[in-house]
Amino acid sequence: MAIDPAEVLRIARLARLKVDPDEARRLAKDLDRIVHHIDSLRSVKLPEGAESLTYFGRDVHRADDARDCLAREDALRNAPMQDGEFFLVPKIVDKEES
Amino acid sequence: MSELWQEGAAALAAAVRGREASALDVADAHLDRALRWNDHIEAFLHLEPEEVRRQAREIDRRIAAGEDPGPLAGVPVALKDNLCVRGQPATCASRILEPFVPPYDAHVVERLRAAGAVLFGKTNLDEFAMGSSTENSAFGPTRNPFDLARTAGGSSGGSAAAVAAGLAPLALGSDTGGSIRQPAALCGVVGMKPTYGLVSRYGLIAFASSLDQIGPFARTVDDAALLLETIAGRDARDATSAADAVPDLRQRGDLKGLRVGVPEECFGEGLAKDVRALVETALGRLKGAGAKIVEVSLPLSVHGIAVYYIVAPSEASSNLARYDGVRYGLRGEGRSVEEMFSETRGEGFGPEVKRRILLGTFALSSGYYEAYYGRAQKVRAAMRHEMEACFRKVDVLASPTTPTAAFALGEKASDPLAMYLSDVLTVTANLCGVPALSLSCGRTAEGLPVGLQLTAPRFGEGTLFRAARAAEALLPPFSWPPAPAAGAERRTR
Repeated sequence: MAIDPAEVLRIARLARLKVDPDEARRLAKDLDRIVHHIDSLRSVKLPEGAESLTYFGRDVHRADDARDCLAREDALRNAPMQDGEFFLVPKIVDKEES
Repeated sequence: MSELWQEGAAALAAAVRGREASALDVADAHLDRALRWNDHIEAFLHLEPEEVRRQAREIDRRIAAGEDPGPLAGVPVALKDNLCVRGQPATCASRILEPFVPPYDAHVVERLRAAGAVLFGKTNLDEFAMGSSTENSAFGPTRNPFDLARTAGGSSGGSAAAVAAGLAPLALGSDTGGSIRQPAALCGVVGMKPTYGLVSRYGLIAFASSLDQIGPFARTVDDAALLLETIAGRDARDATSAADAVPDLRQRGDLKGLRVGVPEECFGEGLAKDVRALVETALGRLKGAGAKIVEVSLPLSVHGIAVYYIVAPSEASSNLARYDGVRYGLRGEGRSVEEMFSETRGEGFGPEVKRRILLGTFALSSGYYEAYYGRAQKVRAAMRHEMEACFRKVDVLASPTTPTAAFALGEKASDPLAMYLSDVLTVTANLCGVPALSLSCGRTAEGLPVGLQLTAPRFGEGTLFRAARAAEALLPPFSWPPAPAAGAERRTR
């Protein structure tokens, strides 16, 4: 799999990460070399139906009890914009759409 | 008693509990040293002397009132800046978290407070713990106390350098692919990554959740065990925290009959001659003391870097999705929410973090998921089985911790793949969830420390620390780095 600047821009859009065209060219070069290295895994012989390791522990359950959580004041303290009750963000719905 | 900053953690706690020294004297001795050395090595991102003294006075007050503050009474412990302390910054060495002040303590921080420790500042790291040299820190690199033109290693380079230079007797780091053991090796101290699940990750800012573990730095194996004992154990707030009993870390014993496996893959191409020579000398001493050296093979370990650089960035791309400018941290401008997200992340993340987010997003994206992430998970499972089979034949594994001693700052900064390959000997332990410890086995002709890595089966910390104590007694003892020159001439960058 070769990675070119257009592919970098496609992935960057998925990741909601602004990347300018110069940066995309540099990143494409780096990512292409890295992906070339990790492509070596294709050569590893694995048995049919080999299992995957996603998790070390056992399934963990806990009682469905209400517990204390962060106070609103503490949760809002780090927000770049808030009104004392809610986090504030730029308008989500355009006028024409509403 | 020698100078207080030269003492180990156990000795300091004993002195404070026995009223031979006050916690305030201990704190001041380390503050004095830290404030003088930090200009040269830049180990700390934040260190507030008054806050440190406040905690120390409180310990002294409790002792005066007849209380016992605990096994780390008055002992300064430096914390990597990806661990949350209520009311103190936690930047992860990233612009995106520069304004962030956590509203709660990490589990390990609660444990330290309960043990009477003095929280001693926040140490430098590669941004979000992604890197092997601290050169990815948004606030500049940490320098190796043994040679200021070289790296202290990474990502927990600040913690390693602080302990090596006597700025703190203990420090905590986090290890996702070697980020405790590699800097410990390059700075000549003990660094240890516990079994996955032994230490709660609650309050550790996540990088790759199936690999991250918090672990200790110290100048001796005993002190590392003391710190791990304090932080280990079940915590319901981390669903991956293990219910298993914490292993007994105080075991002592000689090496007679201990089966030490030496994986041939760890001595291949790319291993520096001087590192190989020091590690082989160390293995010879273990053998001389009665250990049985067994040649073993872990053929899949050569794929460790490839598996790691799919799994870790994939998890990172998901974990770092939370930095969107809404709840905390930096916010960029934008007319729409999506534009604000992209601007925030584009401005806030550094180049290496962007590379890894993109790599992970690619590996998880439609059409590539099975070929990359799916395949990596399968190879990872096979690696774990291979490791388990190996531990049926041996008690511990021994290898170099790193392929080379500390490299020069700038040497690998522009070549991400070369930087990634410096983790080749450490990532396997993370992928397999097993504990591993690095201790110094001597210095190169240039005076640079070299690490010997010991690895044990899951929850085999008892054997690991017993073997490490016995090995430590056979190896050159810790020695202090030279005092930095008074001027700025050694600061090359």
